[in-house]
Amino acid sequence: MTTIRLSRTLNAVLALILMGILSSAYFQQYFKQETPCPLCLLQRLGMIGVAIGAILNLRFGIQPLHYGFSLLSAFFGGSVSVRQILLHICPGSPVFGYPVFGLSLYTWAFLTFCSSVIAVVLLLFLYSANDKDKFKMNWFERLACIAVFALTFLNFITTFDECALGFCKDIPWPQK
Amino acid sequence: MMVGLFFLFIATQLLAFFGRRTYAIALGMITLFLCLGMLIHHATSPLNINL
Repeated sequence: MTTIRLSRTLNAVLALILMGILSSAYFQQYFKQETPCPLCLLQRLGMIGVAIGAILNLRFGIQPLHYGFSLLSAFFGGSVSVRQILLHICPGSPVFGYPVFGLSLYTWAFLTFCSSVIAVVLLLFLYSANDKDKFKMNWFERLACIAVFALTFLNFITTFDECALGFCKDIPWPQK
Repeated sequence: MMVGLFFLFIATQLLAFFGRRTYAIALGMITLFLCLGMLIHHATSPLNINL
């Protein structure tokens, strides 16, 4: 397997992992009746942004500009999740949402964004300007692109259902 | 407003799928900056201070 093929596969894996995390957020939303707060939606946007950088790599070939887009999205999403962590950091302040494996969803989101930054930096180590990416997308990479588009569209529909065209309302917790 | 951000990301992906790389990246960057604006709005609005 050439370095470029490996990079492309890893980009597809990164996008699919992020979409898996977004799907698990839907599990929380619909099976545990946990309506996402405005900051949660911004974190979803950050994850989609990281995945868009990866699918730009799959569509147009591996380029540092695309990795830069992913990194910027990861920093944005990380700052949103840090803000939400800091909102609940004081002793006695209630934690928003049901914990998953002992951590709240926004803490998991922060870990996800940190892992994304590390993953993108490791992928940049594989980049070489001399290698020309002339591969066409295989079925796995197409699956990653379709998954990212489908999850973005699904988020668009569910966010419209929750917030319509205006600002999203704050969600009191525990939800009644 | 949040719906618009998801819509812009859908448009970004459509531009990428149709081969418009420069437009896709430009629209993606604009969307990210709008997301940042939304975060600042959330952080400075007294109504949204809790969640």
